[in-house]
Amino acid sequence: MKTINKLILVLGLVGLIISCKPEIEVPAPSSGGLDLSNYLAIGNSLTAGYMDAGLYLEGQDQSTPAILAKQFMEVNPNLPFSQPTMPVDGSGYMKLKDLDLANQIFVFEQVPADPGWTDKIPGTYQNLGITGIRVKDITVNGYGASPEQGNPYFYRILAADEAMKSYLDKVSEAEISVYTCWIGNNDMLDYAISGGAFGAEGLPVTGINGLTPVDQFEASYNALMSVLNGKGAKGILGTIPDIAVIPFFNLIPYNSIVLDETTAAQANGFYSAQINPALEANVEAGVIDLIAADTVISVAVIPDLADTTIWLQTYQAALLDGKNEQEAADSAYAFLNSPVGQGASAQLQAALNAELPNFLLGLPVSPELEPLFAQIGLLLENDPQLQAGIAQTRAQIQQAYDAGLLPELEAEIAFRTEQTIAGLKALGYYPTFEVGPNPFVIEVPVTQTNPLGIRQMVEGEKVLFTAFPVLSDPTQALAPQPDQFILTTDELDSIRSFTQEYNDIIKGYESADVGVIDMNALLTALNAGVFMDGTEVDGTYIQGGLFSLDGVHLTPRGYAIIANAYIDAINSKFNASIPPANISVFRSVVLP
Amino acid sequence: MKHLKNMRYLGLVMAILTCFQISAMAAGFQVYLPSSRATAMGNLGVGLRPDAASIYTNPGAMALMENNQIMMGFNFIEAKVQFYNSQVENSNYVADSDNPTGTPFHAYAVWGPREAKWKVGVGMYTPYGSRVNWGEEWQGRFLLSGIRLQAIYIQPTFSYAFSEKFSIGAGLIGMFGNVDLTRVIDVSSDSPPTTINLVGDAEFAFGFNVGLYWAISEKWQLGASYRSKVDATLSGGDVTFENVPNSLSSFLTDNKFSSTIPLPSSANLALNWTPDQNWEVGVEVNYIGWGAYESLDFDFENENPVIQDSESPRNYKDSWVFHLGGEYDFGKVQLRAGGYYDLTPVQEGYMTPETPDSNRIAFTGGIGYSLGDFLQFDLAFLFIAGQEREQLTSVAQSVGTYPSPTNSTYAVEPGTYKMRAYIPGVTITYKF
Repeated sequence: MKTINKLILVLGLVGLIISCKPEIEVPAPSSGGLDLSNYLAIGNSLTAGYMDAGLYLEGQDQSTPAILAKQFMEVNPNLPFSQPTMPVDGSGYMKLKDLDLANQIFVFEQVPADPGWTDKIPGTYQNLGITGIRVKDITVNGYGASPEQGNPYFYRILAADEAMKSYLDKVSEAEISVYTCWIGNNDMLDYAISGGAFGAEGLPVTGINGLTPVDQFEASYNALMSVLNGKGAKGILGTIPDIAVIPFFNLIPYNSIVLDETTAAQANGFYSAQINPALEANVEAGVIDLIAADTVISVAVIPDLADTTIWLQTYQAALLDGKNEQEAADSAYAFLNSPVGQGASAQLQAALNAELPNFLLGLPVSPELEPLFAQIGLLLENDPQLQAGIAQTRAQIQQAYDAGLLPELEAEIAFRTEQTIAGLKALGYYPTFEVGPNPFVIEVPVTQTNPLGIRQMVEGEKVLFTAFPVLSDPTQALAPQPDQFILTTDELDSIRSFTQEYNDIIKGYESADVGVIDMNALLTALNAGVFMDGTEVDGTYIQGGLFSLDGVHLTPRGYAIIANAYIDAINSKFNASIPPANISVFRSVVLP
Repeated sequence: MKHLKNMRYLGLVMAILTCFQISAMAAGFQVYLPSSRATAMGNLGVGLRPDAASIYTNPGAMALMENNQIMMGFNFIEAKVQFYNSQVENSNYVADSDNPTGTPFHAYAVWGPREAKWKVGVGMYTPYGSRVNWGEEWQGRFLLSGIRLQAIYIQPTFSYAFSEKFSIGAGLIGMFGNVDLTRVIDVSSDSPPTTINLVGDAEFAFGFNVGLYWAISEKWQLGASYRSKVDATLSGGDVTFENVPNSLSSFLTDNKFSSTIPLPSSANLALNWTPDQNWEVGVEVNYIGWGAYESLDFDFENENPVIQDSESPRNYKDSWVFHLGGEYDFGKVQLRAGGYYDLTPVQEGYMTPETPDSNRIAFTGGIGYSLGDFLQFDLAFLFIAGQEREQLTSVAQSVGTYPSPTNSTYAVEPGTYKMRAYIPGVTITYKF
């Protein structure tokens, strides 16, 4: 029995030891010198947790500030943090209904908004991410006055008696020891997402869909920073990423009309049927106008004009020789009638005739002939007889032409039409399609050089994701696309220069208390692909896992990466060691 | 006839034991647990006074056994590994593997006419295996969520003693085994995690186990043995998926796979010291041919853009194990203790979640109890401490086992790993 007792003792001991697991020493989280007692998140939809074209509960639960607060709580478990939570479906959102990855076919469905999503829920919130807010809106009183005219996302967090408060007022009221601030994206995105269709100023008064003027951006951001700095708070600002890193602007390549031999021929046929008849009629009218004017002027105007010119030259030379007017006139007539004088006149006529078509086409003529052509011009404008003569001749030529009596002219017109077409094609105004990928055709203003009012897109220009439904239909994809679907080179240039200036302003706030994250550099790297915590993200739509279905906002996994960027920035700026979140636990795009 | 009857029972017990699972307890996925006596003495075996477990450790010693034996036993393996995401600055992320308890077994029967110079025997043991379950939530789940690998050797053996001092022996190894591997697929959907599961049986394969035993003097004995490499070839294994989103159902369809996992050779040398009737002390060294494990490749019968043949480098190197152990025999009761140092075959940058291996130090102890001359009970306890080992992202990238701009292979999860194992065991021996 003694042995058995011992045995039981040993076995008990063994059981105790077995329950021990290996423990790796993990560094303790610490705030360093940073006061982590009160956190405030300032920003727009990207801070609110907006994703899949909506703000709904799941996105809020995994917003960057929510993830950050959880990590901050590793250091300060008592950190106050609450968000203005939405009903489950919130403002409604898009969802993948069907997906054919092999053929890149996406079918979406819309989850409807909760009817009460704009109901007021006033309170003290540490996530002040307001969907849609621009820097220029920060100081606007009444920005949340009503859900219809104001911003409904701001409206719902304001108490009834706070209707006229500005966003900045809410920031001022908050207790802040540390903050994150990523705002300004919409000052550029409003314009970009509308394809620049409303111009840089945007709509009247509100400036919606425009680009915020740089001075306004700076004044408003200054007001925000003076409040934050005045509170002695420390924080991190995020810059505004270039649209080059946002799938919404890059999902549809400018040249994604892919054609085979048959469809390319059809497309070319479609456009030539649209353009060529008008173009040919135009050329025909121009050529016949030209021939009529040329014929009449060379017969009815130029011989007299040449004679008169020669006579006048001789007459004036004789006057200079000291002859009187009568003598000078006589010698001028004599010269004009002499073979030499006739030769000179014939030479001048030939020169004028040679350059007449150029003059009629508005092209430059030899300088010495300019005064004479100026006279011809005056006659053309003012001489009813000449005008009638030309009109009559034109009618005769047109008649003969229509009757098919002028085959040479037909050839000429055909040739010139071809030349015009070739010229327009060379400039990219006349759409041409080849086997393989082809650029989209877009609407542009009609100008003298581009009479067609359309052109093919060039490399670097952007097709917006909003065009996706239209461009999914092969026929519609071939048609000229309106401005709101396109960012042209000019529009992109203004977006980039404004973004650059906004970012220069933001970077200017960097100080001992304020760090700045280059969000453009971060998102550029993420787009290219980053492997971390056992998972890979990149900018590929849907499969990449970084961007949500709307192509602008991030997935929870993406928001967690942004949270970690803030943590890294805080740790290095303020000597803290706050643990980053583990990326792999956050979801990417939900597949159907 | 009595002997034959015993043999039949043994067969039955073996069949039952086959249902148990085993787990990795020596470096790599070797499970070196010959018998509770051997394990209690620092896993010595090759040079020990011969017993039925010599079939495994040193077939050459078998003919010098004093009696015939039937021995059977098993161990409980309670192993845990912790992972710390040390390659991410300031991270405090840890994950613990929750490995199911493994129960490797051993069963041997040795028989020979008394006074004959030979003995025959058959053994069944589990020299290789692994059971790791990281779960479906840890950050490396897209690499491995769980693996169960086991190899069972059946080994008929013959040993011949040239004299009372010198004997040799050889056994033919027949291997059967199986693999069951699960990983999570990195997609998000409304259903539980999407997983891929590979299950396959190894083709029956042969190897050999040879040895010699030399009692140099009354006090000194020398043993040497060599077990050959056996390739566990899995072909036509089943690939199945769970919780596949509809949009991926055309890619993630049931499939077949094949793969080969080498079960490495082991060359062993041991010296034993028996100063008197009570004491037995030994040292042993093993040289394990892990270099044969170059890569873990999976060939799929039907490839598609998502499911493609994979090659995952392992590049193990041959490794050494050094043992020291002893026993004091009080007559009825024997006390044993020992330890060993097991050098990892896994090179820097190749530490995968299925064998997050490091150098291991093990301490062993146990008691034996003799019930007359017929029955022997042995208990063993083995504690293994794996050295905490950090795998740097930069090193893994430089050897091409972790994604970098120039390489997309993802075979390891960088970070720090630490293993502990607690292995009690029991063996019963019937002597006749």
